[in-house]
Amino acid sequence: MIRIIIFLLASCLTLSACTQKKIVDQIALPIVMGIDNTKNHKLQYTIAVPIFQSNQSVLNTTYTFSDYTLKNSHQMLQTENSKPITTSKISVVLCGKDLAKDGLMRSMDTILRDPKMSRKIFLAIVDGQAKDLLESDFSSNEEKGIFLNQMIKGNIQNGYLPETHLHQFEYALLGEGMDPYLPLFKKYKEHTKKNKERIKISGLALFRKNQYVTTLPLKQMPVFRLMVDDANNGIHQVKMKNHSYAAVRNQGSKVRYEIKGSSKKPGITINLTLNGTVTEYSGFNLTEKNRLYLERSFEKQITNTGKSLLHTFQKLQIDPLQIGDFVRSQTRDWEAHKWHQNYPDVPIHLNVDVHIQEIGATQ
Amino acid sequence: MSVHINERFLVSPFLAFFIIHSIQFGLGYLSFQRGLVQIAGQDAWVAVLITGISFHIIIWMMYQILDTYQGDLVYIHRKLLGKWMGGLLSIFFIVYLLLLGSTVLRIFIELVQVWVFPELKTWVLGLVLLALAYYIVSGGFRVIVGVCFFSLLNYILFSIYALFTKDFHFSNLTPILQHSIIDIVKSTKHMAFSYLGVEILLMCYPFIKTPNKSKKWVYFANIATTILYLITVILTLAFCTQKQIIKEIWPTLAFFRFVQLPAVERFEFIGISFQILRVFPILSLSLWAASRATKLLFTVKQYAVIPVFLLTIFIIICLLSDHRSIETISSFVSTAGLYLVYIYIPFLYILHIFRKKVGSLT
Repeated sequence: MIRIIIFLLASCLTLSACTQKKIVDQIALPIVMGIDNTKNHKLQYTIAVPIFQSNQSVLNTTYTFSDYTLKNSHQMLQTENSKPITTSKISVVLCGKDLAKDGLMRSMDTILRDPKMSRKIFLAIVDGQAKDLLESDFSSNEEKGIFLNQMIKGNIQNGYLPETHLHQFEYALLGEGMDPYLPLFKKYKEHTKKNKERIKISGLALFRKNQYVTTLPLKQMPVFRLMVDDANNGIHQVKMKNHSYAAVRNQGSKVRYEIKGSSKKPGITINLTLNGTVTEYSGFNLTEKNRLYLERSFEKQITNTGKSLLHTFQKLQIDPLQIGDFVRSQTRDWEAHKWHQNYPDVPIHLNVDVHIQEIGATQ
Repeated sequence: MSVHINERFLVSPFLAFFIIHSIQFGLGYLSFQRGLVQIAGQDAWVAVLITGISFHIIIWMMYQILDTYQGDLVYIHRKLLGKWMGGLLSIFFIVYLLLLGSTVLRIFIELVQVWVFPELKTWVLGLVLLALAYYIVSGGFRVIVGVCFFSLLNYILFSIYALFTKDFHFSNLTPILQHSIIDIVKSTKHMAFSYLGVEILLMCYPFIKTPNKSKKWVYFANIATTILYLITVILTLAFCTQKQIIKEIWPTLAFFRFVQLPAVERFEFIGISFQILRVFPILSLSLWAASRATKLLFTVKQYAVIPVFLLTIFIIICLLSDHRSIETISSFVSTAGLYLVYIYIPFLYILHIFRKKVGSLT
């Protein structure tokens, strides 16, 4: 009896290393990948493989291959590489604008199907080709993937970018009564002698299901951020009297949707409350009267931008604010196709209430 | 007139909680949302509740039968249905238990193959795990109960839900009860596989010291299972849209793909490895029950039967080569379990009442 057990345990130990080993030093771990479409209906697959230098800087080598499936391109890139390439560390996926116009479904499939890939991947759209962006030297000594990842993360935490990772994209893509949005990257050249290439987030790409429809410009993103979800960061610039301006930091904003009217003819009210702190005022002396004026002026400013956003969304029949989903959760027997027909004509009101809590250290 | 077992093999009544809970709370937990949501949509949680209540009634019926006869299923079969008919049904029960064990083991191996080691051969992992199962089962019933107890370690995995609080959309659950009752009842069919296992009580009963005290623990076990499934299904619905849940083959694992810890980049590796704690109670309990039933039925030694059954399970799992065949067998086993629980046990109960009446009359 004991002998049998010892024999079995011994065989377990010998069997334990029978699958392919993957040692971190001996594999290539790209962190960013780009997907574009080509004229002959293929997908152009680009990866930036990091090569770690001895002086702690990182070089990226980009590899590109076009084929009908991304996984085959991945396999083909192996012929150019000494180390096996794995996809398990990918944390940013860039898609070209043209591909996004055709629809992202086709390229998303492998990312969702491959169990090795995380669902916390950041997706982003590139104004132009993802390959061009990845090949340019925008991050100097930093790893390109890590650079992009931190750029998106930082803008979500401290900027105007609403949270957008793969899961949320798929959530809005497959859900009824909602449409996804993704950050839009743009490559530009510095106006100096060196002509150094740089990248920036130039807006938010709005989708109708999986197709790119339009871009929300950077200027309107702060208000969009307030309307999508509760936020507690970001600076808003408010125009005051006599060409003076004030900067208000968002100390916590809440957005609540409300439904009014019958289920056949619903009316939506968006209630937005914002608590802010004045961090800059170019008029220098912020009196009580000015403070009240600032509140009203800020409210008006948000309402105007918000209304024009809602108007655009309804005209283009896109629903990034997930209003359809909200109506679904509040009414019985909601039907997607009926809602889509009615959506452009649904009255949506925007109530903004701004409260300036603090005015900083000086008056 | 009852089955008597030496006291040193018996377990305390409260351990019945761990036996029943760990055999119920199996790998079905990883994928049960899919079938449910397909039919019942956002009202899937109602189906979970209904199934939990129905299993409560089934447990009550089992205790009614067992308390009268003070024995296990083989003994009850012989008493109620005679030697031949009863024996045949006992053999069906043994086959069912073996299939249940092999299905769970094969599903686990498939998980490892899809998520962790795509190159891994079925027989390799199967051999290693069955060797371990042999070690557990040959240790006797008390050792198996110990394994059941330690399987509750996998509750740690529930803590990961705390990482998603920001991404839960509880509005996905409303409007409540939009689906018809018929749809909800229909969807409980998909739920049953995750609740199966309570029938093991029919074999374990004689091994529990003062079985009367174990009742409340078995009910608690069923309540615990129901609550955990409710949490899982509600959080999954809040985290994903219904179409996403239907698209995922293992919706619960979608959560794992989302977790990134500073030291562990791929949380699935831990998550999947933890599932082995769910496999062993089911595998070893069903193997033990099957071998015990065979011992009682054919008066052979239990030690001699276990290797034969292990070999049978080994062959079954090697024959199940692809996802489709695994799905076929698991739906077959769950249908068989469904009939066993919802039709056969009530049938036994009615038969036992009938016999009791006839007996008291004569």
